[in-house]
Amino acid sequence: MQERQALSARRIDHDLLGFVLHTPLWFWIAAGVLGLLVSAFVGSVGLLVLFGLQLLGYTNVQYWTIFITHFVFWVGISHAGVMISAILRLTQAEWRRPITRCAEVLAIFSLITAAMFPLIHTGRLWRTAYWAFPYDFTRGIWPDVRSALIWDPSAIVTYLTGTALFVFVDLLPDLAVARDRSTGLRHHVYRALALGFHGSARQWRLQLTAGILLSALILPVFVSVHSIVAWDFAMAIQPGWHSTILAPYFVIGAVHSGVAAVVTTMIILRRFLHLDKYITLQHFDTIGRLQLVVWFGYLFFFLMDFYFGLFARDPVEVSIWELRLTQPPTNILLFIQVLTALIIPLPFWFSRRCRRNVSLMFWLSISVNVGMFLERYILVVTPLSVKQPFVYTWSPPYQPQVIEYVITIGSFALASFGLLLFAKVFPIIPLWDVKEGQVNSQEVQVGRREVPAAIHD
Amino acid sequence: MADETGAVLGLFERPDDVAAALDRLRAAGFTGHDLAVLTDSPYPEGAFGEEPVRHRLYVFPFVGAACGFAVGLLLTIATQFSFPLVTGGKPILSIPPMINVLYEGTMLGALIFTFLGALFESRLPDFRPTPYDPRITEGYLGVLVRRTAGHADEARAALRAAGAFDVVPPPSAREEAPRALAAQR
Amino acid sequence: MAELPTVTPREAAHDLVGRPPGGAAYWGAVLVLAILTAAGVAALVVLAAGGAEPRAKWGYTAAMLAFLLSTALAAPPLAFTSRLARGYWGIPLRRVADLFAVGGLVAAPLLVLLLTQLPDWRDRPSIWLNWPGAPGLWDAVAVIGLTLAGLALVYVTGLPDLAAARDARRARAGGLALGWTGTLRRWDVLDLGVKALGALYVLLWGFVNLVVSTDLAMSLVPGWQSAVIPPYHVVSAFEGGIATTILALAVARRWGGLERYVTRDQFHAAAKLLLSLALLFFYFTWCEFLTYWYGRQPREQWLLGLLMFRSYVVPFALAFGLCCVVPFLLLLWNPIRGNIKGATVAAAIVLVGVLADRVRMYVAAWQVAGPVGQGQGDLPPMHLPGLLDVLVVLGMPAAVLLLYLLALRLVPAVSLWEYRRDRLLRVEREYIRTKVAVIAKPS
Repeated sequence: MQERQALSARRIDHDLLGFVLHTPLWFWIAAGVLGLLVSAFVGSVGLLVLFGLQLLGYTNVQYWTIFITHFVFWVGISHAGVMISAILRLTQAEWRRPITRCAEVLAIFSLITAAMFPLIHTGRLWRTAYWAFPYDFTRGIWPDVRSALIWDPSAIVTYLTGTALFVFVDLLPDLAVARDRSTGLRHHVYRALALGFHGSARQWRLQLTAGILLSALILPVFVSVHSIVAWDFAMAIQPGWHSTILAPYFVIGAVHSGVAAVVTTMIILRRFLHLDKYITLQHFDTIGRLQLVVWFGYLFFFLMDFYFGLFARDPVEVSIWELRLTQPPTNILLFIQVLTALIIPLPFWFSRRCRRNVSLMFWLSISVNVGMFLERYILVVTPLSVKQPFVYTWSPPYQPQVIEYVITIGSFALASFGLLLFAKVFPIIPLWDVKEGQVNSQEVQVGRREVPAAIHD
Repeated sequence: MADETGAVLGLFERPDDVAAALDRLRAAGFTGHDLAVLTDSPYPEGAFGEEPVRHRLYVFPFVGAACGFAVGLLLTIATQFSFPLVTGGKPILSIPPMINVLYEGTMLGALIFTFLGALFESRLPDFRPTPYDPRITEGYLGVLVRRTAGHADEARAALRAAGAFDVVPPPSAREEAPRALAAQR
Repeated sequence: MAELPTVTPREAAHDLVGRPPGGAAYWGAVLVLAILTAAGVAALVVLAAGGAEPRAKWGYTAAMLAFLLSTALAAPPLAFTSRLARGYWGIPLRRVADLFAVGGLVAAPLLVLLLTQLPDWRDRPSIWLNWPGAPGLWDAVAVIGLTLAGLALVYVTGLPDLAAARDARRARAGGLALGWTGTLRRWDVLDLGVKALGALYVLLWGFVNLVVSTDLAMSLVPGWQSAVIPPYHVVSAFEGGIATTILALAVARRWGGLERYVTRDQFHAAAKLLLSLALLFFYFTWCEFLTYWYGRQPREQWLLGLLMFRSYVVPFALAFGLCCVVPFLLLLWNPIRGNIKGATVAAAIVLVGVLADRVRMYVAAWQVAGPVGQGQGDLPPMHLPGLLDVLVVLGMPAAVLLLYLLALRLVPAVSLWEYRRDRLLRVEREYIRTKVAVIAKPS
């Protein structure tokens, strides 16, 4: 990397363990605010359990709405974390070092947030266990594996377990550093978690090999999880959902929103934890170029979904697209989606100067995720909306209620809170990875110029 | 379990001194299995002239995948036959939906076993009282002589001759190290 | 450890641009390919002379067009990928891959011919929605654009080597060098141009995959409206492009005398990509199959019968087995993946699989092609190839290979200027008690 600095191990420990071992004031403020929002989230869910789903804006036909949108959105956010970490590890990209762990941890907490929504959406959360857990609780009824909704728990459990194990293996050497830098109860906790890691050549070789193996294993899982979420829709013969492209479309959309979420997280961490020496402008430049490539992929699939919706001129499919393109408020939401997720970011990502502008990259990443949230909302709600005229009901079309807005805000607070707590307890940037980068950094003399280089193991 | 109470740990500032220390220790009669280099980050394989690391981690994902596949197969077949009801026009034993669950089960098994294999091959958890110094995670390098078998003095001499700035005392003093370090801060 | 470039610049210039390829083996291959090409062209003329009907007779021709798009024309995207990723492993492989862009000179006329044989397009389910001039005009523009972009890419990436050939006193190549001298500004412009042309080529290639798979296959089959087919086509084509490049690298090593330039690293890296693409092939096939199977709708069950499990079950089984299962089982093992022979065998298997897959899609499509609004009817048996089809199947790839061999007389199979640059940026160094490869990546 052009902007790398020579940093001693002691300096790295000091910078990256600072937040873990010392607590600044802003942490308490942030934890307080996020905690309040999470409490509001929990309280709202409690109200739903107590009073039922009548508090929501559900109609007779629109029963998969904001909660399912959240489910898809948060599973999507969880994707890029593992994708970035795994692919960059497999390709031995040097720029991965400071960002892999925050990406992986973002994946874990996003997935936990996502997993809550199908439960909340059912109204009686605990009954989902009877239905989904592979055990005969009553009357000889087992989960029906033929149902696409049963594939979800298997996928999410696999992905969550895999990501958690991935994070733990990667964390072991840093737990050893935390053990060596702490005292009292903290020391004993870190000592227990570090499992006695002491940095022998064998342990390092196994650490690297396990990282490669877990990366190679988790990548197919990352593709399968969001595909299975997509098949919740595609397996139904509902026009607008029943499309062969939904699975890869969801996956590429997940990568698009997930990479943007990683950028948001990187910027926030850089700002509040003073990590400028570790998360440099070069990182934003490189990740901006990655976002550009993903943009093209996402555009391709978006257009395929559009064109093939109209391909066979099926009247119901056409009416869905008419709703999306011509009828407010759906067409306004679609316009905002295309503007924020596709049009606004593109010219900026082409410019090297813009990619290296941290504030701009922050707002672009927010813009992408606003657009991607709306994309999921439009995709989930509008196909059900076309059934509305055929239902004998006086209720207006679906409109989110206050409690749904509270739960929406609460979900963002929940994921952020989890990330904040993790960063407080464990180093959010891998110390050992950054130190390895220092060991591997070299220079190659070409004429009068010294070109930055790295050892390729 | 090896008796490591005779173990000796030397601390170095420079990687070249570590390589020189290994040479001296081998010349003094210590074998590769008795020696270990402790660092705070991975170095290129063979950088210190140490023995190559042999492991069987690659076997674990396959074993785990097989176990996960077997459990998935049992679960999916058993659940379908236990309540044989045609749903959505699909046969009682529907293989395509089974494949999704089988796949996830296989990958879950592979992931879990890889994790366990990584711990096993790394010989973790290891809470035995081996010589260790927290200064290793500050960037210093350690050369651990696990089994001195009564030749601890030769080991210490070889380490100092190679440039060790400290030779860590026996394990009983290990618990003093974090407190000493905290006192230094 | 990575195999570092060891040939000196002077030796490399002598090996790569000293003199054009020749000799009995080379000219023998040219002769055989020329004969096969002539036979293929003759078969096409006979087919065209017979008119558009029955449309089933064009199935194998369409399959060959798709095969060329999925093998030769899919190789330059691999070179672009390695440039984008700045992967050192790709340097000897880039020219070998880029040169296949000359296949556009075969694919473009072939597509134009097929477009003239399409049935009536008015109100036909398609991506064009009755757009004026569609599909013929726009498909033709796309494939001609792709051909021009490919030729431009080959020419621009070859400029410095043409200049080197000029300096080695080769008059024909030298004339094409346009007076190139390696000033810093020209190198900067060349770098930018190569990347821009590569990106343009990839975008056009993706678009041509889209229009070929929809206009020459999906729109012809009643009830087939699978949105995953264009990306599936792109992915399986990329897999074919990697396989084609691996085979070309093997030939370059074995018969081209380029063992010192084309090393195990290229095969290992390409084999890893091939493994990933084999998994993606499974993924896209599964997406289509599962969505159609699950709904139990008669229209979709008919399509599964036609394309996968009844009429074209043999090509489907071959395609699935040879593009996915066998490469996965082979390339999963590091000793095979990192071995030149292993990677080459896997690549050859994939090429056969890609051919079977294109036969499955396009022969089936042209066999059932009919007027708009026609129902799905009974499932027909697979349309087997006749003599003319065999000549086309042999002749069209032969034409591409012929153009490739002729192009090698102008530019070398390994890019001299990229090889020299790689040599500057990759060095071996002593590191304490071991040797390490150090790779520089200038911004």
